[in-house]
Amino acid sequence: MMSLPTVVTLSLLGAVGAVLRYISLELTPPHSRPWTLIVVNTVGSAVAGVALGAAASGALTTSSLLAVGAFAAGLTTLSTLAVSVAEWWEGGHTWRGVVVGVQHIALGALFVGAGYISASVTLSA
Amino acid sequence: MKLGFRGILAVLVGGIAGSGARLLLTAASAGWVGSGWPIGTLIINVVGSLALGWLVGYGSTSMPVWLNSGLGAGFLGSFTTLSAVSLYLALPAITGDAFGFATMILYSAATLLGGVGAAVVGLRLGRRRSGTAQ
Repeated sequence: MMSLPTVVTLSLLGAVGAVLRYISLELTPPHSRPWTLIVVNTVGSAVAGVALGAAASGALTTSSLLAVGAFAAGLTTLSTLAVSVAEWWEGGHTWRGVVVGVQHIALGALFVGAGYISASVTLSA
Repeated sequence: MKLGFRGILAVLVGGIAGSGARLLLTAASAGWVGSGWPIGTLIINVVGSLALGWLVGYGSTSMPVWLNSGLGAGFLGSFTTLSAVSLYLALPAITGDAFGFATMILYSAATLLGGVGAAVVGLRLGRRRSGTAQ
């Protein structure tokens, strides 16, 4: 079980990620926000992958891995994506929604893998 | 779009609450189904999508902008997460676990379908509540 100071610290790091996501989306014109959200979700997934690869190589402690993971989890979001896809579905753009939804998860997983491998190779060399 | 200090502060406070709630629920649900199926994250993402759908359907004009940002982008945005789902999908692929990868493809599909389905329900309930249902 996590201690209270750990929960508070990790929550604060998640909130910093949330603020960065909010600022990125607010500074983007409304019609471009779906693209910004893809970038934010992909970057957050890549950060998580790099941290995991660094931890696997012994370059990052478990505490630091948790801290980076908390930041990445707050930076990325699924609910905004789900509501966007739901609105496209209601507007009759079902395929657009399906493609965008799959894109987010596939790109996220791809960049976790890329981040993990990059960190593992670089830090093991 | 104009970025206001009040909005950023609301997102920060909402983000602390949302991240904390996710951490505690994820830890509490760790043994519910087994380590191979992270049910806690799935529930969090579906419930968070339902709530954000409700908030969007209810309408941003029904409450102050800073409160909407704090609840939506802050609390619900950081309560739900995509990086965890990406990690669950990528890890078995990295370790060469074909069965685990197939399982996580199903998990990702369940997350996406569950999240979108919940968001549709939330949008409709929110519109009904605000009296803007079509």
